[in-house]
Amino acid sequence: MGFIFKLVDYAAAILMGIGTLFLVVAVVDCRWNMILSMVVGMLLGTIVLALVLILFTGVSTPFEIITVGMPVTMLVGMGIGMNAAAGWSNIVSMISVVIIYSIAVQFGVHRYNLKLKGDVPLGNGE
Amino acid sequence: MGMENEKNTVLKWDRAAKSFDWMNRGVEVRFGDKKREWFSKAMGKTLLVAVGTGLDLPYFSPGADIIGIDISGKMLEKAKEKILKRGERTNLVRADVQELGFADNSIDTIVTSCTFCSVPDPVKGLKEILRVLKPGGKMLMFEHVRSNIFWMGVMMDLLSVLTRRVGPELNRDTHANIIKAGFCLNREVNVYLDMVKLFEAIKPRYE
Repeated sequence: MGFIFKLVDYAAAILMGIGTLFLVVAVVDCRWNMILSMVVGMLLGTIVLALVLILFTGVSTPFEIITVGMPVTMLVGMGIGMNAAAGWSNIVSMISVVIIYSIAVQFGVHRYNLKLKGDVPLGNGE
Repeated sequence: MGMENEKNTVLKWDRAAKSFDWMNRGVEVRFGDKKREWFSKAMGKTLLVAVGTGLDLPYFSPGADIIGIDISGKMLEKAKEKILKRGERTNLVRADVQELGFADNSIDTIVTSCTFCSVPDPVKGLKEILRVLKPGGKMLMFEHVRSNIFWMGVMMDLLSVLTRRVGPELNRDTHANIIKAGFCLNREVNVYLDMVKLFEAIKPRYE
């Protein structure tokens, strides 16, 4: 089951990244200024996070989704927003970068979770 | 102010009762095994604090006589459906953990499951639990707490502003609250990062 949960986590991370990318590309216009594009990108990412949270309710928890979702959706939203405003249109490159980034964030969280898992050393007298 | 606080808490959890099972499916799928491992240690007269809709009832061993309490009547109505499967050794009582109506030193084991993220005054609630627990009795907890990882802790502080309106706080320091209430913390286990934890605490045998 652990392996299946890991697959679900990676699927959620990639979905959040790609979902944010497409939503930002659809909404942000190249005539917008950089700051507005960044902020709107971030907000759109938050919407994607909320949708994935609902979609994955039966197989994941808010802890797993939000822990990975915040760095993925907010940074992808900001980054892609800036790129969209700058008129960068190489969608294949954007998709590749976002997928790699999403996987890297999820991998990092999984590894850190393994490091922290288990008994916490307690001080004397607790 | 205290009564208004209680009224708001009851309203909040009455509203949450409708979607509670659906919202927590993922938690049961992911952490059910851990909960079973922990809660199956409960023996004798066991007080399950904030029984909710009864999702945790299947995790207890047959040796536990369970009294499930909750501040929300709507939650208890849903829990009733689940106790039919367990049978006679489970009773449900509408009660507030901050003012338990049980006698001192009358309970063998206390179990909590994502409870102390929601109790308005968690230390007060834990002190009440300490009062009713027998000396040497165990408190077994499955809780989500504030992370010590800087950016995640900040994120939880910010999100709590929203989540407390419809559900739990995300930034409770349950470890510190357990100690403040007077328990001896026997064991603390990280289940997911440092934000989902198991606690085992004991009421000291002396005052």
